[in-house]
Amino acid sequence: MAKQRGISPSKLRADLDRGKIAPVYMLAGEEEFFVHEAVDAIAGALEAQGGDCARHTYQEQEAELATVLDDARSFGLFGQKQLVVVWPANQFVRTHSDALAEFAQAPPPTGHLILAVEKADRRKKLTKIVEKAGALVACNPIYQNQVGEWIRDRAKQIGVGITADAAARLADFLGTDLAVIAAELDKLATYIGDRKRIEADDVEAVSLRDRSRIIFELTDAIGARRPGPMLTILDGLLDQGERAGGIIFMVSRHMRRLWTVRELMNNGIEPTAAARKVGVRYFVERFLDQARGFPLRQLRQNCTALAECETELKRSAMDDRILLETTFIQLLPPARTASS
Amino acid sequence: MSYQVLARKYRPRTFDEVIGQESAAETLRNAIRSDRVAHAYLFSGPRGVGKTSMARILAKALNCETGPTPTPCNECPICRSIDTGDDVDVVEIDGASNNSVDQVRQLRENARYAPARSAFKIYIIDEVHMLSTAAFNALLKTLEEPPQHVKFIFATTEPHKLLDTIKSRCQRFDFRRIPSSRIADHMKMLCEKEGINADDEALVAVARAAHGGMRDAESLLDQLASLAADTITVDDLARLIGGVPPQTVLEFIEAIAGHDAKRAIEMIDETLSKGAADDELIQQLVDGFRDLLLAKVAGPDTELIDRGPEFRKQLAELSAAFSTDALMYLVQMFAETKKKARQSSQSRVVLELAVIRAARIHQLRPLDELVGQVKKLGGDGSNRRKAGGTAQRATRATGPSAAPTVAEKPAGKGPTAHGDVWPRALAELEQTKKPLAIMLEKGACTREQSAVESGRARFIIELDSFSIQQAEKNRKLLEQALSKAHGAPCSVELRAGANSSGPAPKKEAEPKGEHIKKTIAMFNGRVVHTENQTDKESSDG
Repeated sequence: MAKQRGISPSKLRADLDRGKIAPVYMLAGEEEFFVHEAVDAIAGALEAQGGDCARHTYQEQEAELATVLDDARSFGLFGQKQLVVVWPANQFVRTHSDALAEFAQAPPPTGHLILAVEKADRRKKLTKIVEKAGALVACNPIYQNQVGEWIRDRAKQIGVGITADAAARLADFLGTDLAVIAAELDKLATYIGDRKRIEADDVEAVSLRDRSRIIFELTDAIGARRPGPMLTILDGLLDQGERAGGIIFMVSRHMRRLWTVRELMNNGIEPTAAARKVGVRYFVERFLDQARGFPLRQLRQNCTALAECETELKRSAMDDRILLETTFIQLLPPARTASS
Repeated sequence: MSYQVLARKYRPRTFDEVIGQESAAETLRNAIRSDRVAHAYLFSGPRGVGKTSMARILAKALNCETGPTPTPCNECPICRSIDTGDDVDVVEIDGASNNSVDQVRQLRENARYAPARSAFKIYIIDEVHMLSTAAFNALLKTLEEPPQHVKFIFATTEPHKLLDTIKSRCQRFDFRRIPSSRIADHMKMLCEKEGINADDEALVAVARAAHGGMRDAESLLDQLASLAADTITVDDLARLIGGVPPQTVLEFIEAIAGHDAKRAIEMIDETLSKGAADDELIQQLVDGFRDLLLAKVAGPDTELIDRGPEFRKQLAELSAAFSTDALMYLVQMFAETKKKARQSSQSRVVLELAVIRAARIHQLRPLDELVGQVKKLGGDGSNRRKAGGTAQRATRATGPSAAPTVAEKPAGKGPTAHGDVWPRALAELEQTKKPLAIMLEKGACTREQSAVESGRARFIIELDSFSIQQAEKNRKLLEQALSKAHGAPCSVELRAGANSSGPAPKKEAEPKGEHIKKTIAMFNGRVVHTENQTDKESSDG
């Protein structure tokens, strides 16, 4: 997905804080969290100007142009403002581009319209008018290397500090899912009570971990020959109701990718390209480090052991936890277990 | 007043009383104190660890007449009715039996109306993962923009079954299993309050049998209090659930470590005659060897072992008597025994055989060593590779011939067993010169026992003629890798293997047809066997 151009969500917030509220907004991009935030911020700014604000939200399947424009143009019974949100509005915008452009050129004094689209074409008339009469806000997903900074900004926004360590750990635990990170930050801010700053230990104590990241941590622990953390992670997954078959599936997939990447690298493919070939887009270096950490022979054996374990899961009456634990211990190269 | 079971009577009524979930309790307390209460919470974790109790406490904290307060009074009519589960504004719903979309729509309708007498209308949905997808979707809109007066608290044992869109709209807390030591302490307190006499050892055993769930522990204690004559003992627990005292398990392990099959068999008789069930004894042996395995690979202090310090100490001592492979074999063997015992009408015999087999584990030899010997007798490299590939499965699933020895040879002290040397050398080579390692995988390596070249061990490597040329060019690297793997200096003799010196190997069948060639190219495969499909079909027919 191409990166959308427009003002950033933080610029929108700053404008709204200064009381600059436009009659029409186009929110373009795939990061739903930013779209949510922008809608809430615009509604909040309208309410802050005094009086009520009636909010009408439509999805494009149910949105009819006449209704949307009527809502935006109508006057509230007590003179309240009207905020109409169409989200998603991809097809709606394509179909009613001219009528919407006409509305944007002459908006009513109390009506505000928000159109949330995945992609805004800046060559189109409607987009040009929105940029001129209102604002085009870019709601692009952020990259992993930007998450730490985003966490620090967000923490500041909710009135707490966060150490660099804690922000890095949180980013490590939760990846780029901003909605989950925001919820966890709220939780952490509550957890620390009267303290002013979130520390790394707080994150360890109360924060969740993203499922795919747990698998990454699990294979990290296997690759680094750390049986203690490996078994603790496995224990945690099973305690949270994760099915043994699901765990085997995820670890097998990861191991197969590592194996494939090693084979590709052996055949002279450049490591980053090899990682891309198996669909790894994020944490490429860490992934490649993992791949390098296993001897090729070990990767083959591990894939076989995991496949056998999967069969045993279906066939054997052995307790799943026991079966997984003994299989995962087999995945560790024997020379480095605690016993030797 | 009618008798109330311990689990209900001592259900936690304040945040302080919830055991083992301190971080969640602290966060919720602070949320109320600082007015940062989220509109939806998700409590996930195993059963009996306090999810629903915490939900009720939170509901009381929000709606108490003295509240919102982190310390609900538990005396006002609202607190009391929440405790009994019939408050008009706190609706407890069992997700398993109210999972349809119509029921959720009804809930959504009701949520619009203001609470009758409290500050908030609170919906506690237990086992929320049981809701249908349509029901989840119906709930989504309300969760997205809930009325100010509505709070949702979801509890589930299987959070992964929830839609991501639901999860992302909730503040989530993962509840953990409660450590046995804390359950045992709580049991002790209950016994004091209720005037129940119980051995400490029995309470620890009850805690362990509850597997981290407080409710299960309290239920067990309830049953034991009715069963025991005067003081609750471990024997009472054994009578109730067929349990086995931890010390007995350790004695079993000691007997097996000492290869004392006779003693182990006698112990089976003693333990079963005391009332323990044979399947429970097997389960305890599985748990015991599992703990031993965990102590071996992760150290005796790992939190994964839910035992007291004295038990851990004994585990640490016993773990030295077994290799990791042996422990894996024993855990899996007893786990399989459990299944066999359940299916057999002679379950005791199945148990005895397993114990005898376990006590004889020292007579078993590592697969690598056996493979090495087979090779010396004339086996070729391809056989060895095949056997090596199935080693893990053999260790798990098969009997004595595949099992490892009891004690591992310490690494780094003198030469390593020959069976390990070649794979290790290849792994070593893989780090320095991968293509060479891959090429040599096809070869077979044997140690020439009689030959000693100026104090060096000598290894004979059999390869095809092309590989010999390449290996010759890299002889120094090869010798270094072998020396490192062997743990002592070695020399190498390269010989043409059976495939190159003997009669010409059978030529691989030439693939016929474009699609076959493409398939072979895609998977980097080769033709192993060709079968004429038409012939087969006609013969079948």
